[in-house]
Amino acid sequence: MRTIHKFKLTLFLLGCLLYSTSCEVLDQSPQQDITPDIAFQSEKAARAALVGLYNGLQSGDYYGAYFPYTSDNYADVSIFLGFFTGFNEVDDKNIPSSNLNVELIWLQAFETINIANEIIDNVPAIEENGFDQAEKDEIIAAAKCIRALCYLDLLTHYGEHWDESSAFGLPLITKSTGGDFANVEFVPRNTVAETYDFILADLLDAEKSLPDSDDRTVASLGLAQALLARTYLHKGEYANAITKTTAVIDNSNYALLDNYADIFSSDLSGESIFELAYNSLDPSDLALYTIRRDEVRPDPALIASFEEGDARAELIAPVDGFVGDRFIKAEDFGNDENPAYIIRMAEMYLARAEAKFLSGDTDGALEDLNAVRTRAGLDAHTSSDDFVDKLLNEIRWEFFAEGQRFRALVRLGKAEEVLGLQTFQRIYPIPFRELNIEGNQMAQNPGY
Amino acid sequence: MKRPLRQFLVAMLCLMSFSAIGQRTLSGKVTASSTGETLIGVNILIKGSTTGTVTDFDGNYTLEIPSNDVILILSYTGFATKEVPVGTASELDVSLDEGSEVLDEVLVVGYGTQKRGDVTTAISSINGEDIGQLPVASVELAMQGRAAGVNISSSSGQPGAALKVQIRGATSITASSEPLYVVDGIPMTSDNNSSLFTGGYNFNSMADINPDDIESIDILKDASAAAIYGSRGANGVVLITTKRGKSGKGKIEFDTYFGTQAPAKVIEMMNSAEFINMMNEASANDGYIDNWFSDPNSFNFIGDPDDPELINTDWYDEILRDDAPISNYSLSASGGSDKFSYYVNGSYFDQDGFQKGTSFNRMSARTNLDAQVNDVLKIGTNVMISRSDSKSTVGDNSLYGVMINALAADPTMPVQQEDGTYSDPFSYFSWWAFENPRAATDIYQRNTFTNRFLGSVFAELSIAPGLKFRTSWSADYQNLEDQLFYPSTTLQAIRGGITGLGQYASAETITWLNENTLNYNFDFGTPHNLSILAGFTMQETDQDFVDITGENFANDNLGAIALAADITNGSTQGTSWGLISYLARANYNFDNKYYLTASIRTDGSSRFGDESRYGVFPSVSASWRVSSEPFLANSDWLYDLKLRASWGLTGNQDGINNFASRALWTSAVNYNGAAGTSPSRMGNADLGWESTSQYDIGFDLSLFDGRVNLTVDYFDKRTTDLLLNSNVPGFSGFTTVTRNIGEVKNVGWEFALNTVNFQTSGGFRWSTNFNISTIENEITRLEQDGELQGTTHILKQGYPLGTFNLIRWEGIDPETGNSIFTDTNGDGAINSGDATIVEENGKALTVWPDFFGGITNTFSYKGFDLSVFFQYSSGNYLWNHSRYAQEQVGWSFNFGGFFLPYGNNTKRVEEERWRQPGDVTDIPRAGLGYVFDDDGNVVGEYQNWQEDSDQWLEDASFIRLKTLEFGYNLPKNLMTKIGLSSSKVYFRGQNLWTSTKYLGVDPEVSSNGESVTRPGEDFGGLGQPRTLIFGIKIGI
Repeated sequence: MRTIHKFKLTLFLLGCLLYSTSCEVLDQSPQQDITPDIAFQSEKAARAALVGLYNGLQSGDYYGAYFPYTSDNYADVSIFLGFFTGFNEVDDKNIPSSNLNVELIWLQAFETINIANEIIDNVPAIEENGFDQAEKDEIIAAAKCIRALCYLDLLTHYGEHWDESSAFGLPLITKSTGGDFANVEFVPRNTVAETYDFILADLLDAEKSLPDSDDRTVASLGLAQALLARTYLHKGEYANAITKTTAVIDNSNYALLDNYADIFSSDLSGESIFELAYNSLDPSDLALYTIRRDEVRPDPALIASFEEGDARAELIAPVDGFVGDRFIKAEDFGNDENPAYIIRMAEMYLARAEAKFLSGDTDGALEDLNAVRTRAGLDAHTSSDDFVDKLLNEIRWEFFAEGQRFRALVRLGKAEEVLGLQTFQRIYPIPFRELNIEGNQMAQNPGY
Repeated sequence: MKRPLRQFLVAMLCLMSFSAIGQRTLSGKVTASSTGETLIGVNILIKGSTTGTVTDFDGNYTLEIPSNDVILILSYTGFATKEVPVGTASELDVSLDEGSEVLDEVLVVGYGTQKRGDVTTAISSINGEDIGQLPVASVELAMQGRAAGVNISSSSGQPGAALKVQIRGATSITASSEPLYVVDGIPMTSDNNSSLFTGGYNFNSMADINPDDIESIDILKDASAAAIYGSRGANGVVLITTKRGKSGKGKIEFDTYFGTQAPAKVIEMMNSAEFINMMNEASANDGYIDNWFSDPNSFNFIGDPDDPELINTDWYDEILRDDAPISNYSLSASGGSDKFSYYVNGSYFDQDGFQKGTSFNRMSARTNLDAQVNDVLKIGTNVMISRSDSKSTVGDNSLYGVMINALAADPTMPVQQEDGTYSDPFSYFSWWAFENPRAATDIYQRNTFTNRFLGSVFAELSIAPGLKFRTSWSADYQNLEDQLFYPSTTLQAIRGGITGLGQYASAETITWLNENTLNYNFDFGTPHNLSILAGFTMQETDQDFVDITGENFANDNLGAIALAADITNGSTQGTSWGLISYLARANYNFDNKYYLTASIRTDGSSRFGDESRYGVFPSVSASWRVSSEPFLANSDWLYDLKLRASWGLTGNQDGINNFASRALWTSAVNYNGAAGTSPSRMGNADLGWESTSQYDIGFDLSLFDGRVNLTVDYFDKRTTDLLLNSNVPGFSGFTTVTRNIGEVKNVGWEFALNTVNFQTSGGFRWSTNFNISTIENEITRLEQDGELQGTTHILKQGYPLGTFNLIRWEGIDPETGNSIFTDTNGDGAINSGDATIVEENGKALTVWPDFFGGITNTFSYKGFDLSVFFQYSSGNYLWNHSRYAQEQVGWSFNFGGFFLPYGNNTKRVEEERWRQPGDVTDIPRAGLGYVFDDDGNVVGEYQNWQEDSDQWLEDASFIRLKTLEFGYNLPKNLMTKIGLSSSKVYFRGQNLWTSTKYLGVDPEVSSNGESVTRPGEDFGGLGQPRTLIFGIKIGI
């Protein structure tokens, strides 16, 4: 009997122990991750989110490889020699809506837009001594600038950007969800005109608050203006395009380098308006595809198209250990530290040339075109005959492996003629996954 | 949460106020009723208590009994269990009747045990004796083919690789479809915690358990049996019980086996001359010259096929070995008295893989102790520690992998150059070889070391007659360490421009578990029998990971991460989860005729969202022993017939990320040297468990005094609220959110027939165990219907998981030798848009068989025994990605003018390929894939090469001689003379023979591990070895 009493006591103590422990078992918290409220509790946290925004652009699915290479493979700039069905379908100029590249680019661009939305919505509410309104405005302006970059990339590849009356723009997401599924609204596509308006509004806001800085790795006044120029050009507002390109060209932070190869032989050259920095701990996939996997190759037609003496052709050359030519717009492709060139001075000159030509100033257009052309060691064009073809050639030679040729061909109405595409193929299909989500109102692009 | 716990504690304390009554000594003798022989080691237990004893060498026993009303329960293997009321006697002799072993077999049922005859649910059992000495690393491999409804396949022959285990079909798309493993009451961590990239297989945490230690395996299949494991029971539960000491004379056993393993099948390849001739033929077929590849003056010269000096490397021969040793040593001691018993084992298992560069070894020790401290308290402990070392080369699916590169390796390439360096495949004639396969086996080093501790202490308190309280505290600790080193001579280093690549990773997982149960056996006096179980358990798991990679090493022999000149990545991670549960079960039977069992478990899990934190999992089952009814009781052929029916609800929460319900931001992002944050997961507060509702009806029939036993079950298992990473619109900024959406159904039949076919008085005995099962799997609801899984599979409503979706191949045009594919969508091009679901006779083809099972025939005569075990599977398909690479002869890669074939080509290509108009075959003509002008310049291309088509989809039905054993028990009197109590010698063969139409190495392999969404793909898979061993078992 007495033993039993002792056990009663033991059991009682055991019970107390269980009782105190059990309360904690279900209360687990993540060790690596933070909750959305902590993500915006201070200035430091807000700046960390801005870092996350640039990190979004860096992804291999976006500027880290897929965005420029998919676009160039679709055009007559590069070819793909490898297994990936996603690239092969693009290369075959027959992109089904199930195409993986088109899906990954779409998702990554919106992932980046979402980070921007979180910043834009949450930063104003942060209350911290020393975190003043001007600092907040600058962070928000950077987020709007990057959001506009993403929307313009999407519009020029997934939306009918050549036709402002088209209903096939993009869904415009203006509110953050806090990462909560319950807050996701299933909205339809906005029109192309609405999409342009949204992009322009963001960029004009950004232009107001971004500093005129020569830090080319982040959003600056120059980037906002350069993107405004790019947007106006696509939209067909040539006077505005000329104003903005001129503003950038006249900005002493930027210059057209004398030597084309210098742009790529060191990071952060004066040519760059915005380039994404990578380092060995944060590598890009750019050289992975062109060199190590050895799959994204120069289109033989591109190599054949260069004029004699074009310095740009020298950046397509053999690499040790490989037979044949590779894209080598890189300082050192072994270390994956090469930047992604998003927008640089040559584009401003060619954009102004295009805007001038289309608004009737053929001499001015020729002058800007020749600035880029003679820099590469070629003789200046003297005639503005076939100007559009000349311009498109320069874009092809100047920006190979940078993903600029395709949307220029579409913008100038040459995609069908040059690439042999059917009219509906001037843009990518909306990824099949989007159409297959219960309740999603996304409409497929006509023809797909 | 608070209230149930308090009530539980109060109840516990109240029940303890019962108390024991006085004692006296009882003794007697136990004999067999048929022969009158005394029985040694009969278990005698006072009903409703843990007090008991065993008979000694003369069949005698003495036992302290508390009162006159006690009933003794006597049990002995091969005899019917008997209950004897003691009354006032002080001496009590008992005789036992020989009876069915089957009905009295004790099954472990989850928080308790039950006699087979009383079980109302579907449980399959495997005896430890059948699997203990199999030459395999882990217990699941030993379970293959032995239990109805349990489909186990070996994805890879890599020693120590995980297996795909499915009980009654795959229930889940993203969460695990693997069962819960419970070892002596401890739910085991069975995940792969290694950070090494392995491609086609996972490291197997279950391989830490030594199969020698296993006494029995009980597989809870239906929901009623598994519902006591609540939110983890949906995929069935495998209860593993380890050996314990028995009262009686101490036994020492030494078991060892050793032998060799060889690949069961090796694909035959072309030799170099055939290879060069084929390339010439390809050129000629494309309209160019017929000696392009053998003309020494040609740009494309490979070699002269008639040159006797021509290098001819058989790559499979280089990377495989047919004398890979395997051995096991196990020394155990067990025994005990009526107060104390022990089982102690130490083992060493050592297996080299038949692919060079792979091995697995494990040291393990176990101590299981039980002590009766006094009349009311019993305590015990189970402790296992093990250390294993799994050595691998580069994973099956990796670019630098051994098998993958052997698929592509050029036969004219020597293994090494004259200076001793490994030949560089980029200097030879194959396109996508990334590494010399021998370099991959020899100089790529990857080791995974695991230290595992699995231990528990428990106490059992007999509070009152029939009332028992049990508490146990357990820990499952695993410390896993990966070490990888690719020295500067590997192509992975050379092509990365570094002098060596190293990785160090560790994963530490600790689970603690506390279980408290209260058991009460009501004693109403017959015919009512009722027992009740109530319990409270909680557990918590913490995991910490470290992963460091470094580059550039000074020395090719030392690859410790500390020696890396540059640390390129270093990360740590930690995660945790917890579970709190309340459980209860009642078993009632009336007169051993009508049985009813009901159970309920409530699980609260930290993984679930705030809105659905607790899940309730009830079950009920009933059975009717028809054979005990008066109208059948006197049948002389019917021994036992029991009809069973059950229903239950179980859950699945494994495989959900620990924090899947919460919106999260990661701080593991950076840009331009600054650390940042970024949204990493979309939250869903409604997230809960997958819910599986299953009913089962079946019967157990036993005829002719238990010589024929048939168990039949039909089940219908419906899983709803499937945990899916459901696609969300891209504009939400996320790709998926984990939601409970989607439904899967599994229905099937199971038959298990055990018979003693022939038994003579002379000692000859022939018995057969046979099982066959069918499982039909179907996705009944999906949110994203028709979602593609890679380029070969699809998830579609109305079809099974893992349905193949492929481009259709119509055959080879006998006139042109070109492949013909169906342009399903009529767009003029053959691409992924033409893929459709592959069906035959209205049934989608998948890796899941129409039926599967095993058959064992055992013959014994005097001391000899022969056991022959076949495993079979029918109607399962595999997509042979290896052939896709190796039988591709219609295309080459134009490498700056060199024409490199796609892969190394098989002998089958040599023998079967199309050569001239009129040839009817399934291998296209050789071709380079280009149109040439007269000077050999490429002027065009054509498409004759491989697509993701059903050309490579093969029937992988098989029947396999899984185990053949011939053993001899040395005569007892001889043994006694030399001081041994028993001794057995045996030969055993594993995977000796396989009959299959499948053209690959093994019809069980999978390149996608345990995936149920992309199962059944074979890309350079390693099959299971053919193993021959010799073993000795000595008892002292």
